[in-house]
Amino acid sequence: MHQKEQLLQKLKHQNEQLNDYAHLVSHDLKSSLRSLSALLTWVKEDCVEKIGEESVGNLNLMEAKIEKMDKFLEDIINYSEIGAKNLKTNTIDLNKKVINIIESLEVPKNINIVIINNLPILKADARRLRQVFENLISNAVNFNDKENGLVEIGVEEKEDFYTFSIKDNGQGIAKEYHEKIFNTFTTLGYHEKSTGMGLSIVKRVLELYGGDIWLESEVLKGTTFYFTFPKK
Amino acid sequence: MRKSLNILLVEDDMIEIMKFNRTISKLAYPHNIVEAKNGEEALDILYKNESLPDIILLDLNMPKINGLEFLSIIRKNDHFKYIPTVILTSSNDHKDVTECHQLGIAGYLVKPLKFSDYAESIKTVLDYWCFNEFVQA
Repeated sequence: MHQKEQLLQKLKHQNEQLNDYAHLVSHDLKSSLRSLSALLTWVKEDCVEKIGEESVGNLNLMEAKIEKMDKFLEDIINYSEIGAKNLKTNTIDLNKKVINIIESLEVPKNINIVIINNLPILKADARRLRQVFENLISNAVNFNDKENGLVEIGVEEKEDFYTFSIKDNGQGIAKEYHEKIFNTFTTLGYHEKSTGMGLSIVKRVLELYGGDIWLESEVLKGTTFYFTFPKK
Repeated sequence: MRKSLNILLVEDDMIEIMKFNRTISKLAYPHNIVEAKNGEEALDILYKNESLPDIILLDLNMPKINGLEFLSIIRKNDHFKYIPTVILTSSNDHKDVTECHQLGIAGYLVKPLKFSDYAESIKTVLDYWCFNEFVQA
């Protein structure tokens, strides 16, 4: 038993070191990207007329790649920062919070987001809880392929916990991916902003609070993500 | 409103310095920039110069004396403690943000990826400080 505990301690320590390492490397890479991005902008500014359309196109592609990589690193940093030791306890009025999150997203005009019932007040780390809602809502928006997109946010109260739902009428997710999508770096469709980290971040945050996440979906018709969050 | 500021830029990265200078050169008013490559060099400049900068723009991640160390030194110094200091960094690390605010800062800017966004935020910060009165030490 003693040995087991020691091993667990060691693993925990190594895990933390790995996290710190990911954090550090991502920050350094992010700085380099920022430099590249600035230099690229200047080359474009200075040479657009000299280099021709095709080269300008390639520079634009480079710029887009840099942006994507930056987003990617940002997500790795976010993911590595999620840990029990840094959790704060804020009192969050979810009605306000979720509206605030929706307003901060770039939602296309053809997509309607509705909060279908009164959301509760929770005690949790505000930044982490934001990541949960933000990722789920933006997924529902970004991968929606319908002419009249609809995203519905709801909640059901149970004795010890709440079950939240984020429902969309998008493309749906085939059964074989229902587990897989929570793995890091897994994406199903292509979206310029998608890095495959979002749902891993969501899952990691919920695990910290002892919450669960699952989904129900019908291909081509839409998906509902459910997650639980304890009241205490 | 003043038309130009005396700025101490504490930054170790060459391209970041180029970005700053390129931004400044396109502004309507000529600001006066003094550069320091790290906290140590910045302290030297502060000690040697008779007139203090109006504002310090400070990177956090630097060799020798880093941004946080530099900040805590100047906040304890009677002569330097009123110089408004704006953090210019790549990290929105919660711990860094909190520590800087505890020590006392006049702003915390996370450098955006895009140069145009960067230039815009620098311009906004400097415009704001042009409208301010300073403690002349």
